[in-house]
Amino acid sequence: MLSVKHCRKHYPGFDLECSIEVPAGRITGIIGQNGAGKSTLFKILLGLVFKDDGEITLFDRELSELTEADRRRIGSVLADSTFSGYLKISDAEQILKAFYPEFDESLFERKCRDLSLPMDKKISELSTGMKAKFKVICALTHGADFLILDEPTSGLDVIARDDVLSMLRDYMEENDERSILISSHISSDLETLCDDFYMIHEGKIILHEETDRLLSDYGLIKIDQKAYENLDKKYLLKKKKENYGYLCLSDHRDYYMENDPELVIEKPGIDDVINMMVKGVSV
Amino acid sequence: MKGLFVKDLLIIRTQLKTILMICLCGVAMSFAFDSSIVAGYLGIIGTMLAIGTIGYDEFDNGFSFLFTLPAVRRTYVREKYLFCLLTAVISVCAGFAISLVLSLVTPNPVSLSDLLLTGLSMLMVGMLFIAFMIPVRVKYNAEKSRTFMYILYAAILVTVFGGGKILSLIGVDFSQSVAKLDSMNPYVILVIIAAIVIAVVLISERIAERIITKKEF
Repeated sequence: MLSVKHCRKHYPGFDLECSIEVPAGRITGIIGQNGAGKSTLFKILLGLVFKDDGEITLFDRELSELTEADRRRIGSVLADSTFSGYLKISDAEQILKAFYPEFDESLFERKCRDLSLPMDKKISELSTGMKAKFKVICALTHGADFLILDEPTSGLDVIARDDVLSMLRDYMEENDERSILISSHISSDLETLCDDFYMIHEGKIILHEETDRLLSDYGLIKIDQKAYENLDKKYLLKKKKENYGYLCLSDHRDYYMENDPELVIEKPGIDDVINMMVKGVSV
Repeated sequence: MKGLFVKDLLIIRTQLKTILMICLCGVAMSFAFDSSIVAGYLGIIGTMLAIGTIGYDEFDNGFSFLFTLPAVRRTYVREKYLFCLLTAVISVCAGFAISLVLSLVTPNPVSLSDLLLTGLSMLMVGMLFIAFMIPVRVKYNAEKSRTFMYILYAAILVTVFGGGKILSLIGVDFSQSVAKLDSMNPYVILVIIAAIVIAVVLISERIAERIITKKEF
């Protein structure tokens, strides 16, 4: 669906260079700290910002050659932008209907009703949670084949986040050729939604992994200084000095559990892996 | 382009109360001056309201979202010019119609041909506003654009009230040219001016397209 090869963008004090792939039928996440480059990458994909170098293809076409018909197949959510705040939700519905022949009015109205979004309310008067839901509904209701979602759950409470993630799961179930590229710094969202994810730090991809593999095969080893010296370091990715010794990240938890049952090994979440990949040193 | 038109119409609709107030002001002014003022007044105000939709598009990072919609950037610029020109024409026609009615009831009646000339002249002025302001609004944010607006007003004032004085100070005697113009059919002058204005609008549109295709959001 989407292929990004050595995409480069330079700003004073920041350089983005990354390659990612999103196959058809997959949900791919991008996770990273604020300022890591997630939004820059998304803006490049949406044509808001121009890359300095690299190849990007979407729907088997070079990004700069996408036609209006191709762009109608994309649904997007931006973290800090939507329809003009002076318009009402019902106005946005009319605009979407005019832009997208595939726009599903009844689905749009039903989703707004289900999520308690009043149609005659101005967009500027919506709460943060309502605005986030509104943005996702706009992206989901015009028959898009590919969603590009930049922090769609940012600022939402647990219930609202769950509503949004449910909508995205339903969207994927309707057609197994659809794909989603979603960014977030809320790792629990990505753990439950994404098939795979990329970690981005200071403009570079530092890890790409299947979510299932990360949750099943990765491990955090807590070990003292002396035991660390004797540890087989073949499958250690990163280490971090702690006051008890070392905290180590491995992508072969079973190997260490079988070879040394006495080792303290924990299952990490995505947040733990990010911490280690960013703050740890390579082994 | 249809989606962009719908958007702009819906934005203008949010200002219906303002539009009504403006019309009432125009009607009131026609009792103080002559009724042809309504055609010019509504024409200019309508044009400014249409240009003002760019501000609504830009508000709160709106451009970023707008350019993710399936319309290429050039289409946005073309639609904006078409929308503004259409609004200018409709406003002038509405003003002309109101002036015609008012000229029957106000103490200062105006001839049909004067009304027509005023309306068409104001349409030319509106088109020049569009040609100047759209590239400026697309290039700069609302605050900076206001500065350019004030520069434009100052230039107009200087040209209208001081143009003759300045020309005579630098030794240009244009009284013969003025006399020649006076003897010409005003509609011929209007056609010449219209041709110049249309050329200016076309050049302006090209400039605006170039600005918008290079801009990053």
